[in-house]
Amino acid sequence: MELKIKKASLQGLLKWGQGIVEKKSTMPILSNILLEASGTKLQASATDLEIAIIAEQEAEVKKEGKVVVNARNLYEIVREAPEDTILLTSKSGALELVSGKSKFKILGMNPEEFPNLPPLSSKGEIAIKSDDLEELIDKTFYAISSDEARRNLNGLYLVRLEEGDKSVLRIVGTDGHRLSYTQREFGGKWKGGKGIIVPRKGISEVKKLLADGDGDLGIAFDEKAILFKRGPVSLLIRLIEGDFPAYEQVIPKGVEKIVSVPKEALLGGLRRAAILVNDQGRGVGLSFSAGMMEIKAQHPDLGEAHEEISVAYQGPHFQVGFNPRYLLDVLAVLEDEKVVLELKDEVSPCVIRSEFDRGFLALVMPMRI
Amino acid sequence: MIRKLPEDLICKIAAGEVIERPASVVKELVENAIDAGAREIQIEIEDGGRQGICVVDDGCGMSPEGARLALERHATSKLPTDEDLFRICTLGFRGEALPSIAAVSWLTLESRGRIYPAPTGISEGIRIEIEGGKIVKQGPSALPVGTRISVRNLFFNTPARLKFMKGRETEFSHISHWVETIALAYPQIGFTLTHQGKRELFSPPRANITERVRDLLGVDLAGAMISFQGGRGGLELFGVCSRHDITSGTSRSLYLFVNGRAVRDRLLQHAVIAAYENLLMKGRYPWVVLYLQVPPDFVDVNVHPTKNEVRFAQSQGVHELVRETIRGILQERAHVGAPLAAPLQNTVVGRGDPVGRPSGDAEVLGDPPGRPYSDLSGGGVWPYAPTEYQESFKSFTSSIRVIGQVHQTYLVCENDDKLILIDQHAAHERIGFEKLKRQFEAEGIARQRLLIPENFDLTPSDAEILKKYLPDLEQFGLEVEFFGGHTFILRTVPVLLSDASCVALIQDLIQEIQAFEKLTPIEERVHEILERMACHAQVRAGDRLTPLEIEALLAEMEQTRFAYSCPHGRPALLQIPFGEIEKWFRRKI
Repeated sequence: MELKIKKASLQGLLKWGQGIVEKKSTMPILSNILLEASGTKLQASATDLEIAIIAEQEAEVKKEGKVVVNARNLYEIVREAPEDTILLTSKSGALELVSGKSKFKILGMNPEEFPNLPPLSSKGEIAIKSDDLEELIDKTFYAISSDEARRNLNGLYLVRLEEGDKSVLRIVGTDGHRLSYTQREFGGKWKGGKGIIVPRKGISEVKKLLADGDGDLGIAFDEKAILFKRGPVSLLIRLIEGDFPAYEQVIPKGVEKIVSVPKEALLGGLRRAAILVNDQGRGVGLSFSAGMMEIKAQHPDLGEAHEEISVAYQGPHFQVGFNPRYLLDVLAVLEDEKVVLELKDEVSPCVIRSEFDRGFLALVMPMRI
Repeated sequence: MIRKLPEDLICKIAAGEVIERPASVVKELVENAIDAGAREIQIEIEDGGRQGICVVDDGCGMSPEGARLALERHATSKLPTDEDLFRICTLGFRGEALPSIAAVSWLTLESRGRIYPAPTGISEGIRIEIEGGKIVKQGPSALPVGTRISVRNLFFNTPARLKFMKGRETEFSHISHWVETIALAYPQIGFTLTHQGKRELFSPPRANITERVRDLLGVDLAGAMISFQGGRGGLELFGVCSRHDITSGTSRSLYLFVNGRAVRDRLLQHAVIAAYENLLMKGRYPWVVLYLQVPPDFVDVNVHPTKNEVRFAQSQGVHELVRETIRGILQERAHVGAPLAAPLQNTVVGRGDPVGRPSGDAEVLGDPPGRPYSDLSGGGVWPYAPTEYQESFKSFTSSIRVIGQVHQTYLVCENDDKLILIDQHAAHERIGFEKLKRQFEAEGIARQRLLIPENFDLTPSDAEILKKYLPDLEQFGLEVEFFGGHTFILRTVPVLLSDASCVALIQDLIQEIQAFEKLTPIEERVHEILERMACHAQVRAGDRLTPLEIEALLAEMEQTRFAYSCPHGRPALLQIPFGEIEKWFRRKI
């Protein structure tokens, strides 16, 4: 392999793999990046066996070939390179990097040992605007479980629904205590109604791709994996096997207590009350009476908090406790001026809807305090 | 082809259960001696017991007929009626020990017994020699009243066992640990243990446990022990336990006795360790000598031929009694190098049951005068009854004068006779931990309901156990519902543990319930989290404290339980007597 490439291009190419290469791994090759030169392109691949990321950039290729070197190391060397152009040459397993008067010889591993990325048998495709997808993820990501034991909750659930003659993509996240979903119209072909679960770490990479990447977004998937392709970057993520819980069953029906509350006032009140109950396994109490909502918190050492908010509510007086963090997480992703809380009793989840985003729904389970 | 096993093979198989290694021989012989009412027992060991074991006692002895009978399997004087099996009051009762040993060694038995009822009558002495279970020689013998048994060529006819015997030192260390243990159980009996002719352990008959502990565990350790006493509903508990900072690396430092019988019971061990929770470093064990007296029908010792294990009728009550008694005493008195309480008067520790004597298979067996049993029947006053408490921790901290802070980590203080160093972080951490724990206990457990209840399956036996404990789990914030079959549904979790996997926790709990009928893992998990919270909220090493802050810290320590160690078991407070410092400077030699 022998090629000449702009420093900025090479840096842009190498940054993609950094998030997924393993720092400590029982398989040393997973700390490495695979560089392949062919035609007029240089391609870089990195993987942790769950996620693979492949990016390519224009380069002046003089001799085709491939090499495997430590991803982190190479990235840092390129970042500090003194000149705007960089020459890369592979020499018996090592990579020689020349930029101006600076010259590095980086030891590599055998490219044949680099794990092969499985090909995707195209089953479904999703055509959606990248802004739409970004919003869907942002509004659901916070609810993903970090409990490794509940594998099927460790990711976001993507499912196709039919509303009239349109197809909508709904994304659902839950950790078993709270849940969040929202949906957007989409095109492309997706047969059947079974959804897929994309793991949390993969979603983090998708978020980066949506934020930093350029160009049109294409999504394809089969039973095993999902591929996100945007411009020169492809992201292949292994899906979580298993069934997502029947989340629609837990949405309470026949809810009578409907409270419309100004979002900023609720957000501020909860934040203030949470100061007293931070990290202590305590909750805040919400009590409702006609036209009025009260937030209460108390701590035996610190004291008490009490705040009233005028709300639109015309029902009987009642009271319920929540983990303030869960409510704050929901409010943080809503753009509305007013949010609607729908409550049934102190053991059923609170439903939070958005006026602005009609497809949005969040559930938060109360706690007993 | 099915055949009936020959008698000698049956004997060897039976011996395999009871006689595992030379230490088992010593155990069986010494227990027999104790059951015979000996006041002095001599144990001579050659080559770790591989060459020779000889046990001599001055107990009641046996008549020639009795001695011959004793060598037959399942012959014993210790179960006069069948019903007595359910009220075991002697150490032995299975009638297996002697014939089992005889089956796998060359054994010489010499004995001379008293004739019952006449206290003056003495039978003739007899000597019987046996090789591999067969009597090869017998005749009269001249010896004082008592029994002398010597065992040579152990396992000569069971090559597998012979092969698995360890080296001389290892085998002897098993023997000596066991003799130590039994000697702690019977302070009124004198013990002498020799190895290769050298005296390894010696303790004359003692009037109380203190002296025996001193003889066996040494003066230093005895000085660091605190006595405890407790009881409820027919259970009586007493003993000594070490301060939390005196520890051992193995659980061998736990000497546990139930009705005078040494046991390695998991329930008791667990209760003791639980009493030291957050006081010990991981993998360390306290030194504890514990005596538990229970009514004989309250405990089943016939669980295993070696009688190491016991079963209690109310294991939960036993666990609580042990844990709370020791925990209580540690709270009260463990802060200073508490010496053993005032010299102890009267009393012998041993069996508290009102058994009169080891009544006999033969009319020749008597009740030698001055036997310890009768002394015990009244259940004498436990000598450690706290007559006066040592200075309480409160008056201890208030007598301290602060000198200053060094290395921005340690507080230097003094009182009248000691230099005192306090680790500010460790002390403050304990204060924070105890405070969080109090709050947590006072407020009850906040529980988070699950939006998507978690289903889980258990094995049928685990499911049965869990079903019984559902209400208890609910108290801890785990609302679990039985769904049918072996499936359960988890509906709420304690908020403090809401990030953890509660199903895994429940599985751990079942294991614990099986073994100890306690739900300690939940408490432990909660405590771990509180510890972590305490650790982060408190002053650290490297924080400069002003004199006012130091005073405030000491005032808080005064209000805090276990202020002398941090919740991970590291010490928070060290004391150096001025006498020690004077020695450093050669002012005092």
